[in-house]
Amino acid sequence: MRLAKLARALMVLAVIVFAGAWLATLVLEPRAVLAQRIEPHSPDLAAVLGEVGTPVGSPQRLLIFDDRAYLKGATPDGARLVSERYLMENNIYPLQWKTVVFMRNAVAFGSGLAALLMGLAWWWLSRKSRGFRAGMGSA
Amino acid sequence: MSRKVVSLIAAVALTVSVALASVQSFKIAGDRNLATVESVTSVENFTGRTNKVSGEIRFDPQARTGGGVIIVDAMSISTGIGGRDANMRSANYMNFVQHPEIRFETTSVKHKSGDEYEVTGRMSMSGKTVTLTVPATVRFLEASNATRELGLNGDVVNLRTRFEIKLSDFGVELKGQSQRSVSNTPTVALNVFASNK
Repeated sequence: MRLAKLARALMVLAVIVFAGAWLATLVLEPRAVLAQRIEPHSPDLAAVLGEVGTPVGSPQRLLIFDDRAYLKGATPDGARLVSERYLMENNIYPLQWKTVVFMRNAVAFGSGLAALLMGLAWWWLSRKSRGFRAGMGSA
Repeated sequence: MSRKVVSLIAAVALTVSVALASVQSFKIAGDRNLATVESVTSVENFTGRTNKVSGEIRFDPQARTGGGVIIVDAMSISTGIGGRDANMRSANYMNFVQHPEIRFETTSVKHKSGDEYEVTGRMSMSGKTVTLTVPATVRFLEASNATRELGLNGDVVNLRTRFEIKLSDFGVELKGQSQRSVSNTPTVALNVFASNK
């Protein structure tokens, strides 16, 4: 009986973790912005070269919680410009949306599987316990 | 007959000397140079970067020809995560501890159109050398306030390039978890400024 209760508790915990993983990404997704990191040029150099700065990597969806990292303007594809210098000076390593999704899927899979296994264990242990008590009653 | 030959030789010599005189040497300098390498996988993207780029670019802005050598300080490349950087530099992966320079030396340059070129050269990294042909944009900038803001005196050449490499071509073997989180075909990008003074 105690084992059945433990299995049920673990199943509930796994369901909470499963739901939490999806809820967390629902909350974070609006903040995931398509961004292009750049090393900004001086205004004179920007005018000569015809660009705001040197791109660092490719545009991708990033979670940057410090709005001061963003620069004015966007790329032709609509990616907001982010100052690489600001990120480095403030030790900000932007979280990638791709990684958040990967972790959510891994946690959801693990907790979903755990919920299923604990659910089965709870059902089986409860059934076994009822059978035992029924046997005790008939005796 | 001999006068004609002498005149011809003199004309050829003059042409060659004028041509050679037009190829200027530009030294990569200042702190605004940038070399990056970007790895894209389904798990994550990351970009290693460094400002420590040196070398020489030879360029004739009229003839649109030239060459050069670019050297990147591999040990200074940072991806933003110390543990990953240490792994990258180790003998298990890029082996930068034993081969601290990434070097690209041109063997031929072909002008395509405008500021666009096709550059063939030998790239040396992690103890191996591979011949690559890559696109490049080369712009000649006369000395100005803008170029002086880069910390450079004299005229400036701005070189940009972006190309893919195969780590396996350089003897780098991705093992275990790194096979999922590191791309075998990262993209290398360079943006450098070189001055003739």
